[in-house]
This record gives sequence, structure tokens and C-alpha cells, in this order.
Amino acid sequence: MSEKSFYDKISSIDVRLIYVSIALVLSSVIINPIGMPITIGEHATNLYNFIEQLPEDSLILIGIDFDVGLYSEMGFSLEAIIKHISSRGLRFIALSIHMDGPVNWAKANSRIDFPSNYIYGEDYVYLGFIAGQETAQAAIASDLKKVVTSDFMGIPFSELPIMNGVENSQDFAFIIEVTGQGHNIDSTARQYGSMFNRPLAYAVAGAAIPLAMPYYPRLALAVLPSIIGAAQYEYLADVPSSALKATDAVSLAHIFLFGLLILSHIGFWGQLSKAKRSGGKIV
Amino acid sequence: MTAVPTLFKRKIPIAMTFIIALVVALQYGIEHPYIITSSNTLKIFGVVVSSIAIILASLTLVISQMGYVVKKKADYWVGGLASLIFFAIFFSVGLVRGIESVEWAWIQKNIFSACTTALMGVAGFLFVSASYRAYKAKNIDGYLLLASGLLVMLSNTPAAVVLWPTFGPIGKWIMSVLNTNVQRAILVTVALGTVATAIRTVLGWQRGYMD
Repeated sequence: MSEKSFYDKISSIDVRLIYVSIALVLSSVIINPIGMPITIGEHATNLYNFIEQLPEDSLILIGIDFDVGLYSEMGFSLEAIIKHISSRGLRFIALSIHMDGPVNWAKANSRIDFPSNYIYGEDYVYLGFIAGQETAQAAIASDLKKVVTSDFMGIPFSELPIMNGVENSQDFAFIIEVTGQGHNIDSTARQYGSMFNRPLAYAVAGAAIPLAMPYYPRLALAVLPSIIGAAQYEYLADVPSSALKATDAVSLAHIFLFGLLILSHIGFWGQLSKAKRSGGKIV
Repeated sequence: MTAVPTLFKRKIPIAMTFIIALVVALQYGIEHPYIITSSNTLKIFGVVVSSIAIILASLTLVISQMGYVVKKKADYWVGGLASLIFFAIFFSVGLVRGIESVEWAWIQKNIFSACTTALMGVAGFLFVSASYRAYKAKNIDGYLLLASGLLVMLSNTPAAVVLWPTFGPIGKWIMSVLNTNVQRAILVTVALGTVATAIRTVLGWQRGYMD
């Protein structure tokens, strides 16, 4: 059996070694953050500035529509945005058209320290999961109180002062959709943005950023990108939390992947060149 | 003799589809109170039907998994049994104790959330190793994809942007010029196809939804 060349070796690193390496790299910076600097992007800045200039009696609609497994990508954005909204005393209504929404809300709610004068039912409420995807959004945008009559815990709207006077999407100053799914991005743009001309913003998973970018900047004033956007927003809103701690891990993971891809291609090109010289092929 | 089945199986559903679609579509052009009220009511019907669909999906899940368990289908029955056990746990806790109970919160956090997050975490490792093993640029398209992918990835790497700030504008240009324009073209094309399909469905020329 012929000995493997250098190029063969670097093209065929044992995947278990890759798994162990990435686990060690990530866990080391999560346990002991280095504190690498970050730059603030325009999307986080746009969203922050827009929320800062909203009048004090503004009502915001937040759509919590992502898989619970993606909490580390979008949940931190959700927390940072809610912390900023609550610190400014703005009111928000959250709801979900994704089945995992209630789980994500419960997690975010347990991790956020609301100001003492920020009261559930008066300043914020969670309406739970509403089935129907875009049909639900269309119904909510047209006539919210016909679709939902109580919050997630079954408290009727008559006992929730925040719901007084809320009829449809025209009553919302701003709509934020936190999602990882392309069809939610499109449906939000259609039902709230195009139909009712509501200002929109998205906080999306990394893989969904290209799907949300077509709506920027005309329909969506910001597309907060994944955990990086969350970290930038935490910095701007002065609510440092898990996303900022995770930026070291994100940086190292990306650099690790970059290095692996370069390595695999050096090996591949070396094998290709060797095969061409010897008149063979790489299978 | 076939007139009655055809009436109920084909003509009435097509007529209902046409009327409902017309009423909902008219709302976006005619602001008449009757049209708006009817359209809003129909949208609420859609929410109710979707909720019923979820119940139906749950029943289908239980029936299909029970089939695997009863028939002891190789490689399937263990997963089927686990699905049924957890379905029973979640269903009974939710029904008996309620979704605002401590027990429900516990099983959500410690079973559902923990398992789903672990699965997503494992997917990250798989993604890295799959990129290393499978992605090899062999032609000009591959090289362009590799280069643009690496540049966008580095523009989203905080440390890389601090080291060389030009990564930021390069990534932004790729996303906002190349990607956005192509995505918009795709969106418009999809929208045209959707309109064509919707017209065919509303007029009864396309009846796939009735099968």
C-alpha cells in the first residue's frame, strides 16, 4: 500500500479529530472569554435608533417564531430587544405563529429582569401560539380581538389593560419578527409591511439573512443577523448578556471553519496537480 | 347517477374556493364594511381550520407510531414507542395540570428544550465536518461560491473585521448588491408563479388540493 502524500493526509483528517478540536476551541473561550473586540453594524444601529425615537406610549408587536433549538441564535436578540423596549417604558404585545413560540417566550421571560414598574398585563403581554401561519397573521393584522380573546395563560382581555383600544395592526407603532424561517419573513412583509405599511424589523438566523435582505431597507428598517446582531444590540442598548459572551466563540468557530476549508482545498489542489502530472484522475 | 357525487365532490368545493378567494381578494381593493367583515371572518375560519389540522396531525402521528410498535417494524418500533411515551407524558401533563403549571414548565425546559437544543448543537459539528469533507471547488462556479461564502463568513466574524476592516464592506456589498438583487428576482418570479397558481386554483382548473 503506497504511503499517503502530504496532500492526501490534509485532505483526509479524521472527522473525530475535527469534532474534538472544535469542541476544545469553543469550550475554552466560552469558559474563559477572551474579550475580542466587536464592530457595530448598521442594522443594529438602525434598530436601536428607531426604538430610541419612538414616543413613550408606543405599542410594539413582537413575533416569536423560531425553533427552540435556535434559541442561541435568535433568543438573545429577542432578550436584548425586549430589555431595551422595557427600559424605555414602551409597551409590547408578543405572539407566535410557530409552535415553539411559547417555549421560547417562557425561556426569555425567565431570563429577563423586567424593571419593577414594568407590569405584565399593563405594559406587556404574551398571547401564545396562534395556528395558521400566514392566515393567522392576516387575521391578526385585520382584527386581532376576533382571533384571540385571552392571553397565553387564559386571562381575558378585559383584565389586561394593555389590550384596551388594540384592534388591528394599525395600532402598532412597530413590528419586530424574530424568526429563522423564510416563509415567516415573507408573510410578515406581506401582511404587515405591504398591506398595512407598518415599520418592520427582523431578527433572523444566519441562514435566513439572505432571505430577509430583499426587504431591506424599504420594508424592513433592520435585519439583525443572528447572534452577532444580538451581541451588537446588547452593546448598543447597554444590556450585556450571553450574546456578547459568545462572540469570542463565534469568531473562533468561523476562523476554524475558514482554516479547515483552506486546508481541504490545499489538499485537493495538491492531489489534482499530482494526478495531472501522473496522467491519472482524482475520484 | 354520477351528477350528485360530482356536485359534492367537485362543483361545490370549486364554487366555495372561488367565492372565498374573491371575498378575501376584494378586501384589498374595496373598503366596503360587508366585504371587510366577511373577509375578516373567513380569515378567522382559516385559523380555526389550522388548529383542527394540528389536532389531526397529532392523531395521525399517534396512529402511525402505534402501527410501528404493534407490527414491531424493525428499526422503527423503538423510536415509535419513545414517541408515544413522550406524547402521552406531554399530553397528560398539559391536560391535567395545565400549560401554566410548574410541571409543564419543567418538562418543556428539561426535556423538549434541552433535547432540541442538543440536536441543533450536534448539527453544528456535522456542518463543519461536512464542509471540510464534501465541499471542494472544482470549477469556476465552485470557486466563486467558495470565495463569496468565505468573504461573507469573515465579514460576520467580529475578530476578522477588527483585524481587517475591509471585510465588512466586502461582505455588505456581496449581501446587499449580489444577493439582494438575485433574491428579489427570485421573489418576483415566485410571486408571478403563485398568482398564476392561485388563479388556476380559484377558477377550478387546478384541483390538487381536493385530492
